[in-house]
Amino acid sequence: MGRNDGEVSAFFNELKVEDSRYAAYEERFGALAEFVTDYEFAKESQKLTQAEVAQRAATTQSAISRFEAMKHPPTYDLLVRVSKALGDHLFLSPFGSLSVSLPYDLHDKARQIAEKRGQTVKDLMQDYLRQGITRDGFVVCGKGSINVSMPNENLSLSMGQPSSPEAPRPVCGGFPPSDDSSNALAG
Amino acid sequence: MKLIWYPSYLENDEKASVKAFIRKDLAKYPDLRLRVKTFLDRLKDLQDLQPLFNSEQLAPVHDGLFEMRIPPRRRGGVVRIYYCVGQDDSKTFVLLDAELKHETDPGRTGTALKRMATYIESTKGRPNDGKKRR
Repeated sequence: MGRNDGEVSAFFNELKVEDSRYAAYEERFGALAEFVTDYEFAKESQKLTQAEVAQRAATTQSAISRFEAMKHPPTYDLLVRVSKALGDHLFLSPFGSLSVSLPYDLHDKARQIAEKRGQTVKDLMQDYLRQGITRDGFVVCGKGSINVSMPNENLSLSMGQPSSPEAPRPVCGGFPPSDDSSNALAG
Repeated sequence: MKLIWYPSYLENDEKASVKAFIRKDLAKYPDLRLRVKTFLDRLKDLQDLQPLFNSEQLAPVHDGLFEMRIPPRRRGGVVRIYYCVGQDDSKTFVLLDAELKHETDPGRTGTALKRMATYIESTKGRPNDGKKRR
């Protein structure tokens, strides 16, 4: 359950039951598919070509082409260099079920807030999550939804969909309002 | 975003559905199947789609019909999933049709447009028809 709760996600779960070879493929390459999906987004957003990525990553265009096609597992070194070529760095963790990726539409806002606060985005997000998760008022507010309420500050951090269409749009935040960016991630 | 399939009760030919495409047509392309799943997962996380329109992974096709390109470029062709916005909820996408396409111009837009019209027609007269969309 969670944000993946839905008929499309249910279908892909059915596929894994139906097709054990696909299930094995997904188990093996799921993390790589996420990496490549994020890579494609960053590459297309920056209007980069394969050749430009290759140049920045000090590798060949054919190596980038093979990597994008997911035909073979890439080397660790290539992942490091490709991440750097896109202006960031590689992140790996064995805690896959405990790690979250910031949605694309919040990237710029998160960067802006972090810069304003003199923090890295990673530190900012960890602060937000810690503040939200450790506060009182932890409420499970419906199927696929966790809402961490902070009544004293009128802020909340929400995961998943609101419990009803009428529910107020959650605000992602949790810091004392030291400046006007305290809940800016809500957009 | 919430993603839903084109309602099966509106389609006589279940074999032509997006689900059937992913199940059958992509059976020999596990990498593409996984890329589609991952892309849809990322899409569900978004509230503002502009970043994906900027990256041209989402694009308008014609008169309310849109397409997803997964991946954006691929030598053997890319998966194009045609969708429209839900009539009751602008944060819902209705997945109408899909194909593995080599050429630049989308091919199955005729079917997708027809399904979109059928879907819109089917929503008329429902209790929440005419309400302001969220």
